[in-house]
Amino acid sequence: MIGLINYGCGNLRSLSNALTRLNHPFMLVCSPEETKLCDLLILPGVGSFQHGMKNLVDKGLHDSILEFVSSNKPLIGICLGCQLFMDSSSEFGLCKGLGLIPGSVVRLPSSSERVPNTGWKQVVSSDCSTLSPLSKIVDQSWMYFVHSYYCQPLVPSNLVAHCHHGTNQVTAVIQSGNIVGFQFHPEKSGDRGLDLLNQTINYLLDFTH
Amino acid sequence: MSTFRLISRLDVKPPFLVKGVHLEGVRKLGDPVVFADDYYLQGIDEIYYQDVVASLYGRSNLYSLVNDLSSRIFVPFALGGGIRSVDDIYMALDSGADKVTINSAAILDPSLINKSVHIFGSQCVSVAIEYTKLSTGKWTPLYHSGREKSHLDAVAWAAECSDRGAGEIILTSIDREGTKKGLDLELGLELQPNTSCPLLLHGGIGNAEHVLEAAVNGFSGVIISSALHFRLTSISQIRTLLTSRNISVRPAS
Repeated sequence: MIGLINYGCGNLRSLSNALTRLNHPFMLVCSPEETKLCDLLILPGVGSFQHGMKNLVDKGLHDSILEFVSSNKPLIGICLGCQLFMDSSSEFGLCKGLGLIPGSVVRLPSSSERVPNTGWKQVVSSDCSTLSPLSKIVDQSWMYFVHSYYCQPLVPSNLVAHCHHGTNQVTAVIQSGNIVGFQFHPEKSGDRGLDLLNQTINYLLDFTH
Repeated sequence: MSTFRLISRLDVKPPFLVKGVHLEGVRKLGDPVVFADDYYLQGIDEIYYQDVVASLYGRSNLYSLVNDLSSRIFVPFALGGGIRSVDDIYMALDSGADKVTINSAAILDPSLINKSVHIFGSQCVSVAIEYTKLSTGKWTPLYHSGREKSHLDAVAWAAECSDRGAGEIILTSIDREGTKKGLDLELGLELQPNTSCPLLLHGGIGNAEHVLEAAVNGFSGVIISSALHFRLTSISQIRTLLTSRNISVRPAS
């Protein structure tokens, strides 16, 4: 059973539709108790980092997500969800994240391309990620991005894939063991995106069992 | 390099896809779902839905259409027309839209841009500016589907929207809209140094060359209505032309 975390910050309908299309049973998770019913959690996200963290804390989901991953169960983060995995973000002032993957979230520079980074970009494997099966799955695929901030992981092997924004390399996929984050929206990236989501779910469920 | 965005716009007067000229008159073209499905299969990057009678009723009527489409079309879409408040944005996102376009409501209360961006993030909030050129040579936005004059200067208004955090600005030339005679680039070129967010052009595309013109002039993308609805060009044709001129576009899958 996949749990789709409902914390008032996600486009749940698109992800629900994607999971339905992929025939993965899922439920909306609104409380700490409901996280315990799931084998894999997805943290979606649209909106500001501060608003996202506040909602997770207010709904009591912050601690239950940390407990979920520490019991080696898999977690996928999408867009803001992926950013919330980091230690902190500088959006609207410094704000603490979940601290699951070392690093921070910073604003995209607007020197060589406009911000938000909006549109389809080619995702390429990062050099240090050749050992991750995920890097082979995602390499050379075109995915839809729309974001103004991005993750800067401190540990090189946590960076699985990137895209380009102007002259800058921008994190597209991060992973630390049972935790995977996508900066782009696989549920909005056509058939290839749906396929990536499906393969990632299956890979993580196998990996952690 | 940024990828040039090809976006289809579907004007909807439920239950029909419609098309006007200079924002006036509505000719019924058919079922919006059929058109949307076709564009998705052709590989459109994004789809923008506009409820053309929302401001008459004071609300958007497209939530159930968006709901239906989001179960079959897995590319981003925006909902515009009648989005007036943060609550309307919640409803739009809950029904499956990825972002909203606001026009009239932002002109009447510019702080709506800041409020929405703070809650939903810039990526959810596009500001649409429908403008006309005055005899003075300046441009001015109109609102309520072109029925009301804002008395604003379009350059200053767009710069303000960008400063307030709009995720992108959509410029629709009312003078060119529906004419298929090509886009107006003038206002957009004036705005490029005054804005930091993506700029999309809309209004007047009649063929693939019109799209190329926007791309080589540094715009982020175009929104295409008539040219696709009336099959004057196709997404494949546009993609081939842009690629041949070294403009980055999403490749055919």
